[in-house]
Amino acid sequence: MRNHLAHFIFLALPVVGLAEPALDFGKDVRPLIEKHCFGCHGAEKGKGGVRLHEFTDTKSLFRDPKLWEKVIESMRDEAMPPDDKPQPPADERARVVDWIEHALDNPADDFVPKDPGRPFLHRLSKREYNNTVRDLLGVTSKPADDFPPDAGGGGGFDNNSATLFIPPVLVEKYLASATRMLAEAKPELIFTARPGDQISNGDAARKAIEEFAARAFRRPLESGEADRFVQLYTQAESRGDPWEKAVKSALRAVLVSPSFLFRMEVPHSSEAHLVSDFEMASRLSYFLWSSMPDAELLRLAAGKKLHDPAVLDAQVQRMLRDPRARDFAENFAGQWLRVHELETSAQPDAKRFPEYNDELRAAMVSEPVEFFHALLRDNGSLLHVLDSDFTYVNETLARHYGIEGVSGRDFRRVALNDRNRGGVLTMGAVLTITSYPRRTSPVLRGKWVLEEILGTPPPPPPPLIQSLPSSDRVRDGLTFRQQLEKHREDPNCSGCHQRLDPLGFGLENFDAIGRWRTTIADQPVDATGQMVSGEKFNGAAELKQLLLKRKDLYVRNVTEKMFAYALNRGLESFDMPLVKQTVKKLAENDYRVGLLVSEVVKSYPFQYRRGGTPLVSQN
Amino acid sequence: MKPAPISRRTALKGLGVTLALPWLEAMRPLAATAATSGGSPLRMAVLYMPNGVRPDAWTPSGAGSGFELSRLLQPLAPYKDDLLVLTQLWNRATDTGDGHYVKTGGFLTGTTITRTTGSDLRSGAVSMDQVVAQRIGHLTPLPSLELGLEPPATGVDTNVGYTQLYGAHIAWSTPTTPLTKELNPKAVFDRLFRSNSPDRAAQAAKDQSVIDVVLDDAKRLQARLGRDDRQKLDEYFESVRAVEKRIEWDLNRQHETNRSDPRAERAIADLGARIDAYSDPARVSERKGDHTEHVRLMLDLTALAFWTDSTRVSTFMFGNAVSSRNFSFLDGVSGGHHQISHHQNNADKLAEYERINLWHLQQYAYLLGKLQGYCEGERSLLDNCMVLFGAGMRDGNAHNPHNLPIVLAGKAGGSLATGRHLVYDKDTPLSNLYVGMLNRMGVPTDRFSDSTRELEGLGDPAFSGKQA
Repeated sequence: MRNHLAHFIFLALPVVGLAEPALDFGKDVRPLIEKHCFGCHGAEKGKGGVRLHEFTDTKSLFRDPKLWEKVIESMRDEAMPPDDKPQPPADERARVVDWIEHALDNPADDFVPKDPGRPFLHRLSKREYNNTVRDLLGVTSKPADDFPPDAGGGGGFDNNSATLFIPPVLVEKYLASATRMLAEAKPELIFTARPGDQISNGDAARKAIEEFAARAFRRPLESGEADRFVQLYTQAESRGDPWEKAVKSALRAVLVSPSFLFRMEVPHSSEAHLVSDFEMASRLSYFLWSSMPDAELLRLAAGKKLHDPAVLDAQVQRMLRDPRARDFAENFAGQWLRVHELETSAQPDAKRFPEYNDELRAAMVSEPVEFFHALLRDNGSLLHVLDSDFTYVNETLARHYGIEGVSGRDFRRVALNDRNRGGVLTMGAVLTITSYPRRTSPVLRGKWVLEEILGTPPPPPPPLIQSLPSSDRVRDGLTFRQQLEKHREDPNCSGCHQRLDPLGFGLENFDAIGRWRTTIADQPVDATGQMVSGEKFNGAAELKQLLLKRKDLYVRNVTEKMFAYALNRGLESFDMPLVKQTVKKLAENDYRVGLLVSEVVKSYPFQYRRGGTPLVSQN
Repeated sequence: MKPAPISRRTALKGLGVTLALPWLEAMRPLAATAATSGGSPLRMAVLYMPNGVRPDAWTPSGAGSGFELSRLLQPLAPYKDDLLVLTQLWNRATDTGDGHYVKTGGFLTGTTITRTTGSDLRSGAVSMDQVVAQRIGHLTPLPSLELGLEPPATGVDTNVGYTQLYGAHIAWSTPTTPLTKELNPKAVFDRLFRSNSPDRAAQAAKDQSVIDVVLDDAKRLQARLGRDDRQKLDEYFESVRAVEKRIEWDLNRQHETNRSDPRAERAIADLGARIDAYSDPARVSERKGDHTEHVRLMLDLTALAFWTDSTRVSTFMFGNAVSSRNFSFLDGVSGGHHQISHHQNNADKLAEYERINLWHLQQYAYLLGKLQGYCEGERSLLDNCMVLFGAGMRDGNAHNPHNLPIVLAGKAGGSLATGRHLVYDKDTPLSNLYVGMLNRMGVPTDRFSDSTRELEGLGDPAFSGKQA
């Protein structure tokens, strides 16, 4: 992964961008490393297993980019060279570090190995389980809501394969849920064959079980695969169970079987290879619907069409217009923008904000989801996330925002005449989760923008940070903002806070639950700010214009997020060229969200998997 | 020598009104002798508190049995004779990395977690509680209980490069597998106590045949997967087998016997009613913010699970690392836990921090009271327990894993000489305490993580360590 700190600093620079430093690794950089590092990390000692002498040209860095990221980190932190060794001059240190970082971020095409990434067998997440049983059995109850919560990782999503665990309690839940779901299932979805004149009890049972298992496993069955399930039917029948009940006892095992609970991908080569068409169908459906493939995807998979770029483009368009894409919006945008924190950690003080009730909170959660869902449906521009002249509200939220003429609980698109509101930054959800219980936090808001929007999180605060009061009362004659500015005079703090705070100041017209305000503690709101670049602004509308100038950072960030979400893993250094190419394509195509999704599904890591070394070869 | 098995009738005969004994070890013919003392099994609970403590209000004055409880430990006054307050323990492996995740994920492992956003999740060791569960878990329907209040955040803390998952788990069943916490008291209750319906045996037989089939299916798949994929399927295997063991319990009906004592039945019914009231959707808004009741239900579940011998090992997290829970429901507190823990030695903030700490100690005391109220033979259930309360850092303002706030309550069947404040040499490994706990729980251990020996003097009433 690229080093965030560098981009954080980059943000401080004028928007023109960083020209490639005119250095050559072998000629200019290696000698410095040789001088200061080879003593311990060269051919002789190789301390800590680090042997930097093995790297001779820029391309060679890509044999172990993670190592070089560690080199950057330890040199930048001045952890290396150790204190008792001669130190390079500060400017030389900075020059080398910047160069290596730039080189890692900008590899030539042939530098980076093609690698689809480490595969982890993917256990259905809670959401995926709920949606899958809905589509498989026609049930509307959400059994996984009672399952223990899923954790997350990677790109910051709960569909990250590596961190989807299967604790014993979950297996207990699967057993119980299977029984309940089969009781609620639509009979026509599970009894696809029934005994009759033409077909015996046993044959009808086998047919129903096989057809159900194939749908549940999202692929055709292998020969003999259903036999064990059919045996359960036979046992139940011989116990005297009625036919339907006996069939259900077999289906229950299908619903607890690993082929159902995992998105099983079986490697068929020891080298990286295309996934099968059926595996591709599941990759698509779980990416865009958080659910199982539908009949059309399975049909295309059977016809071996799902690696055809034109077919993929058409399927992306179809799938994004399908109502199931709302799950994508909810899961992707909801987690990316962290709006679910409204339901977990954000707790506006009830006395200070009695208006913040369950209804308002639910509306706040919905707004960014509806907004993002609309972008998907309409193939809108990704830049609307930064700023837009419309949003989605219902009556509760419209009243909260002071927008007239909206009634009822349904969300609808409204035009925003006041351009201070618009885009995710000014949504109630975001403004609330970045506030403390009793006041706004320009620092948290600034941090949220840097982290979630621009993908350039600030480094952590030093251990002894000076804390600020929990309310925004005027103290010692200073407004809250003035207190914060005073805090920034501390040189330990100013470096970061002059980047963080202005972004938050620009949003000060929105209170801790996202309402428009013109005064704070009876003092007029001061929503002016100055970026480190020197650009000045007053209020949210102007701030957003400055952020739009930094759209490259934002687009790169959202692209990385989208890949991480789609691939069910965090991105690695070998993914970065792909991210860069995709960002370039987006810039040439008006930043259409549909294009981003299409590029993701046609990408190498989405279509390929690493080879495996099976215990037993299958022939 | 193992005592001769006795019938339940014999056991109940002579029980006074206050004595209820849902389960006597000797009633179980195949009972293991490990981790038992005086016929009753030992139990072990760990209560983890995020964000540290107000350091100047924690340490008791005096050492040995003549100590005075500190301000923060006041809620434990009724149980002073059942406590060991342990001073100067530290968790060396967590003196690195970041301020919170390392201190949480490694609290019970004594190891340094791997810095990762998710692909290389690794605590480095099985946690102490799970070492016990893996040894004695087969003796109870559930090997262990993992309880908590806050769901893991799905994000990555990009500031420090750790998946937030680390901050939500202290129990690790393998060095790469954290155990998911149960947050919902109703789900815990149902799992523990509602599974013994009349047709439970029939259901268990059916579950067993389903498990046979799916294990077969998994085996077939396992042979075909690559090494990377196999890790998750192995987890599936382990968990299915754990459920299989539980089903065996149900089939043998031992599970029901140990809670058929009328007093246990009544306690189960009472708790069930409270949980149902708490979980009633119609009363959601009423209970909102009743965080204390949520905690107490979880602690009641722990006590009752121990009493009915449904499990002998449990962990409970008051909050995840960096918890920002709003504690404004306490008088004199306004704001989130983590925010307040960064007190910067500001007197107002310290006072708020202390009130939040105190609330945690009050909940701990609540559990001790519950355990003391349940009788087991001549003793209280608390006498047969070890209940560890602690945090992964001392001062939340400094994220420091030296001199951790650690209390151990309960007499562990008489093997702990309680009622003392023990002051150790600076930077004595917390793992030494874990060695002592493992030894008492039936896992004879010389070494755990960075331990140097079993923590000195745990069972020796004359020992008081260095004078404070």
